[in-house]
Amino acid sequence: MTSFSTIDIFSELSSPMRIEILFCISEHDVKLSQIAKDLDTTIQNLQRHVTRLIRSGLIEKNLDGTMSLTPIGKMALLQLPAFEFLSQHQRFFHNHSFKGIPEYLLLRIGELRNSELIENTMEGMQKIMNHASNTQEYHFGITNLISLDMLDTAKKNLKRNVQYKIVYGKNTTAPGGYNTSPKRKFWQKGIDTKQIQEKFLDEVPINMTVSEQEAHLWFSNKNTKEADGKIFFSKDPAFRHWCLDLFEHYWRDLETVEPFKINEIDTFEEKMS
Amino acid sequence: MIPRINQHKSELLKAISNPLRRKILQNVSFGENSFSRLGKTTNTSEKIIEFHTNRLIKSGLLEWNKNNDIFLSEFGKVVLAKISAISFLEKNKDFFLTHDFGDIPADLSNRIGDLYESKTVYGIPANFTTTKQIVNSAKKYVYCIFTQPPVLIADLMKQKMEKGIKVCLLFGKNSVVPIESNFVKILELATKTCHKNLKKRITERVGINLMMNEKHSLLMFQHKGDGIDMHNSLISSENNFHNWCSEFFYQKWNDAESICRIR
Repeated sequence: MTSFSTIDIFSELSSPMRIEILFCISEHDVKLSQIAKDLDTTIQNLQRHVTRLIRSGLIEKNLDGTMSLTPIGKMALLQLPAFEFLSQHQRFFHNHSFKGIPEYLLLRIGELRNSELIENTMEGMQKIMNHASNTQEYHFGITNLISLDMLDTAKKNLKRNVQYKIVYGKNTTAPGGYNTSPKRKFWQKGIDTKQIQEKFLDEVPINMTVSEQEAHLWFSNKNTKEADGKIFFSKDPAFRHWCLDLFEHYWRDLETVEPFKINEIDTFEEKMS
Repeated sequence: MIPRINQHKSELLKAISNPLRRKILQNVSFGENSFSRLGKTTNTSEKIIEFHTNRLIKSGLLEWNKNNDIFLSEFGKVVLAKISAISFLEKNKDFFLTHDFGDIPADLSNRIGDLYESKTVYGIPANFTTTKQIVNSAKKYVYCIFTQPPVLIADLMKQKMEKGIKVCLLFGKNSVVPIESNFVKILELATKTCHKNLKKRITERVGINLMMNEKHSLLMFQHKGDGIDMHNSLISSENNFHNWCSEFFYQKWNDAESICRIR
């Protein structure tokens, strides 16, 4: 190790100015003068930072005087979106759990950065309904909370040949009357024709739905251990790709149990009758 | 293109930029839950530990439980896992200053921290022995991606195939495979016939040498702008490393075409 052991990658990444310089260089090999122009500062200001970045192995000077990222610099920058996402939602994750997400997907959590967190439950529910209605090709879901509206939308979607794959857990709940509802007749037909496929697992700690257009993801509240209506939405391809991989994990990797009847919770209507 | 990040969110990065704070996070994850224990293992005063711990608590990475023990929050666990990605780069900085990461896809780059628990093996003899060991100790399978195959292990591979071990070899159109070598002859790579336990595929480009069995994995990287470096490798028997290598292998394998013979 060199004598500059206090200059390590971590200390370099803790400076906003140095991160700006790294992003500038990541776009194309540039000369110092160009960086100064892009970042609206002086070469003098940059010099100190650039020297540190070279010493820490993140950038290098080329023969033609331009700067470029080293392979380490590129790799290091690729880790930043994860820190950005976690930092941006620090307050959220103070109250919510990552339970149900395998470690290798947690390492890739930066792929969720282009998303919107809707904290208003009603707004979220409306967006979910819209999302479901817009689906054209497939609807893959991991769910611990079922709504009856879902059945209405599914009926229309099945006529348009949308493929459904749903994963349930023993902890999954639906409103009272779900299992015996007449709306379930076509759902059963869909299962018979294999347009709908279902899997049953011991536990499903999170909710996620992904289609060819968009995806949404909701984490459980740490205290209530249930989804609390604060939902991440996105149409971003990286977000969708992450969700598809999460779905694959539930569909392909986890042990299934004997199919069970979904737990119904009492609704006001039921109590009335 | 590397996605730009929002600058205002660098508070978390500042929190982990201090090496003592990173050490505290790591040691807490190992079960050191008090100022006194942390002070002892990091050789610092409890007062300084307290200062840094409070900073980490403010950043949501650590929390107190009802017994007054310090714990990593779930948030802290995820951040610590991401820290290992950067620690991996730091640990192998000298190596990667002269080598390339090759063709690692984005999702596996995000998981580069999985490679942290690994050893570097130096020298051609040591690396040759290690490749032999991977083939030798295989009980179910040997999966390989070769930019340049280690030609001297052909006999060993053939023996394992006869014993029922499945061998999968993946080459790239850029791979250097000496057609006249024993490797090609013994494994019958240039003929149409194929041993039932051998599968061969070819893909557009390969940039990393990989050899793995159901337990151990080995990675070799390219010299910058040159060929594969057979002097140095990363090896590991650790789970996360193995999962990373498996995922890398399957992604490349599934993208490749079957071949009958190498030309």
